Amino acid sequence: MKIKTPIFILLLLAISFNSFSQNTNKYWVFLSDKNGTVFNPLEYFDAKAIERRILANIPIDHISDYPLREDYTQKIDQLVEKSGYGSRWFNAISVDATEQQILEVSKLDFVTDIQMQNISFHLCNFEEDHSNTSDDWLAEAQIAMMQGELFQKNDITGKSIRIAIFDGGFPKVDTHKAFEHVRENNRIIKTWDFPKKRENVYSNHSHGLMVMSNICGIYNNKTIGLATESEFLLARTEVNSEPFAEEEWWLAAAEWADKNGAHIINSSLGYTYHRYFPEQMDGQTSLVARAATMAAKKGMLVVNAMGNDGTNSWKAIGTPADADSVLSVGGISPENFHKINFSSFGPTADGRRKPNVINSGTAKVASKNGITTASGTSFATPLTTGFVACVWQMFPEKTNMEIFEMIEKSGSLYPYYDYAHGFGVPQASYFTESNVQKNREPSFEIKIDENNKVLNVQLSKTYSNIDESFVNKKTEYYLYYHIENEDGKLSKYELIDVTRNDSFEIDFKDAKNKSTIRVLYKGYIYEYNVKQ
Amino acid sequence: MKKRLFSTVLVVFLFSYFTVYAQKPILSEYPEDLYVKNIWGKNRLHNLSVNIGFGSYININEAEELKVYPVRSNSSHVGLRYKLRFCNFYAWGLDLNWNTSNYSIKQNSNNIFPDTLTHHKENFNFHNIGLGYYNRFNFDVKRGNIIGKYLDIGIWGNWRFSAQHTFVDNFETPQHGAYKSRTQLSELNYLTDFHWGVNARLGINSFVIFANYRMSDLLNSKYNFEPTPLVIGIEIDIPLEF
Repeated sequence: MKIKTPIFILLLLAISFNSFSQNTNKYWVFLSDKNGTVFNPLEYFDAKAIERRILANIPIDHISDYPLREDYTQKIDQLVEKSGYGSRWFNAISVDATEQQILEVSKLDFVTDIQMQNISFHLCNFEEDHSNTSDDWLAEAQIAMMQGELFQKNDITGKSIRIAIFDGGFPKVDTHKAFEHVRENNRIIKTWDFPKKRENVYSNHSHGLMVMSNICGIYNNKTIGLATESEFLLARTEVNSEPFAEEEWWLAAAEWADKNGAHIINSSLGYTYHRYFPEQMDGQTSLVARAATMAAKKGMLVVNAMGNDGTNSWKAIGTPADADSVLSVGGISPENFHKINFSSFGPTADGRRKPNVINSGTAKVASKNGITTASGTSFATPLTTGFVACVWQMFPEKTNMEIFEMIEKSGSLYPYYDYAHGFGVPQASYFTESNVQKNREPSFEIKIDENNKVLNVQLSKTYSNIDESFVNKKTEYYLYYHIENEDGKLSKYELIDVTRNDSFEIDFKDAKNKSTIRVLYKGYIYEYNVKQ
Repeated sequence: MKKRLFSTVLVVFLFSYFTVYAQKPILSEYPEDLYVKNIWGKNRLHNLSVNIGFGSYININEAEELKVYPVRSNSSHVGLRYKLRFCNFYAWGLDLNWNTSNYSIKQNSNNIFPDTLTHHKENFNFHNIGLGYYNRFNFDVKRGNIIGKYLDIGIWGNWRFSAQHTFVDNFETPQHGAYKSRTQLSELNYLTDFHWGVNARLGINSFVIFANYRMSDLLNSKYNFEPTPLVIGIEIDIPLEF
C-alpha cells in the first residue's frame, strides 16, 4: 500500500459529526398546566375580540387564553440556547436547543411533549407577469366572477369586518394609491413584524402588498378586491432566509389576530413536501393546521390557499388548508373558467372535501410600481376573503362556521362538488337576491343502460335558458359529473367541454354499489343511484 | 372501384371530423390515486437517482516521480444511485457507474513514469465500471419527501476495462521540418485492473460536492509511487419519479 491514510476523510467525518451534535434546532415544548396564572380578558382582548366571542358563544376567559406559567418558562430558558414565543393556545414555548439540551428539558416533570418545528412555508404565488398592465378586463373579471357588482350596488364593502393578513411583507402599502382609501380612514388598525419584533411591516417581500390589494384595493377607480371598507391587521410572518421560525410566527400571529379582534385570517401560504408526505395532509399532523383549527374555535374564519402543486408530483393540498375548519380556496382560470392548471387538488388525505370554493387564480394586483398581473392560489384566496368580509357585514350575527357554510352554498356549482373546483366560485346573488334559482330546467336527458352500465347523456337541443350573468355564461359551457361512493368520497370526476349537441356516455362499470352519479350542466343536476 | 374508394374516403373524413369535434373531457380525475402511498420517492423507502459528475485531481502526497496537472487531470462519471431509507437520519445505498480518469503528467527530470523520457504532453486515462456502497446521514431529520441535506460516507471499487497512455512529442527533421507525433499505448502492463477507495459526499437535494480517495494502488508493484489519489468535484443527482 503506497497511499497514506486518508486523513481528510477522518477530518470530514469529525467535522460533520461535530456539527450534528452542536446544531441547534427549533422545538415546541408543551407544558402540563397553567395553575396559578392570572388572566383579565377585558385588559387582554380588543373590544372586537370580546364581541366576536360573545356572539359565537365562546368563553372570554377560557384556560387556552391564559398566559404560560413564568416559573416553567424560566426553568426552560435556563436549559436552552434561546427561548422564543410562548403560545397560550397550546400552552407551549418555542425554543432553540441542541439535542443534549432538549434531552434535559424533556426530563422536567412539567413538560408533556416536545415537537421539532417546521422547516419552511411557501408563499402560494406562482408567477408575476409584468406585461399587459393596462388591460382592464382582468380587473373586471376577477370581481365579476363573484358577481361583486351586486355587493357594490348594495353598498356592501366589508365595513367593520377586521381582517388579519399573514404574509412576507407589505412594502408600499403605506404609500400605494390602491390603499389610499384604507389609509385615509385609518383602517390599518395594527401591524406587527414577528421576525423583527417591530411595528413597521412596510418592507420586504411584496407578496403581502399584492395579496392585500385583492382584498380591498382600488386602482384607477377600479375595485380589485371587494372589502374596500374593512379594517386590517397586518402581520409579517414569513422570512425565506429564516425558515425554522416561521411556524412560531404563524401561530404567534394567529393569537395576535385573535387578541386584536380579527374576524378573518387571510393566509396565502402553504406547506407541502419540504416536511410532509401527501398522506399526512389530514388536518391533524401539522401544528399549523391545528393552530388554524384553534383559530376557528376562537371564532375567526381562516381563509387559506390550496397551494400551487397541481402540476407537480405532490399534486395534493398543502397545510394548513387541510384543516377542517379552514375555508380552502383553489384557483380557476379567468379565461376558460375551469381549474387553473397549478391549483392543487383535494381531497385531504383522510378524504374530506377540499377545496371548499375556488376563485380567480390570475388577478390584477397592486405592485411596487403600480399594478401588475399575478397568478397563484395566493390571489384566489384574498379575492375570497374580500367576499367573505362582505357576507359577514351582511350577517353580523352569524358565527364563523355559519358564514363558512353560507359561502360554500353560494358556490356557482353548489350543490354539485368536485375536488378540483369545490362548490365553485362564491356568488353574491345568493346573498343579495331572495329567490336564486339553483336547480333549473333540465338541460339534458339521461337514458340508462343497466346492462352495459352506461348513462347516455343527450343534451337538450331546445335548451335556451342561458343565464347571462358573467360567470354562468362561461361555466355553463362545461358539463361536470362525479361518482360518489356510499361514504361520500368521490371515486371519479370529470369536466367535459361541451362543443356539440351529440349524446355521449358515462361509463359506471367500476362504480361501487350504492354509489351516486351526479351530472351537472347549465345549472341542472341529475342524480342516479347505482345498484349493482 | 372508384365508388368504393370514395365511400372509404368519406367515412374516414366523417370519422376524423366527429373525433375532433366530439365532447372533450378536459379534466378527468381518480382521487383515490392521489394518496396511494408510494414506496419509491426522494424520502421514501427506496429511491433511485441518476447522476453525472466531474472532479479534478488534487495534488496531495505527491510523488516527485509522478506529478500531475490539476483540472487537466480529472475524473467524470455517469451513474445510477440506489438508496434504502432506514429513518429520516440514516440510509444506505449502492452506486453503479461508468467512470473515466484522466491524468495529465507533468514533464520534468524527476518523472520516471512510465520511463524517464520527457514528452511535450503525456496523459494516461482509463475507463472503469464502478460499484459503491455508502452510508447516508441526513442533517434535516424533520423533512418531508425531499432528499434534503446529507453527508454520504462510502467505499467504492472500480474494474478497469480500458486504458490508454498517450504521448505527444515535437520533432524537427531536415526531411519533414517541425511536426508532432502522437503515440497511444493501450495494453498497459503497469496498471492494476481493480482498485478501490473511500468517498464522501455533501449534498443539498440534487447538488452534490464529492471527494473520492483511492486507497489501492493504480500502478503495479514495479513502481513504488502513485499518482495523486484525491478527486474533488461536483455532481448533479436527479431522483427518478415512479
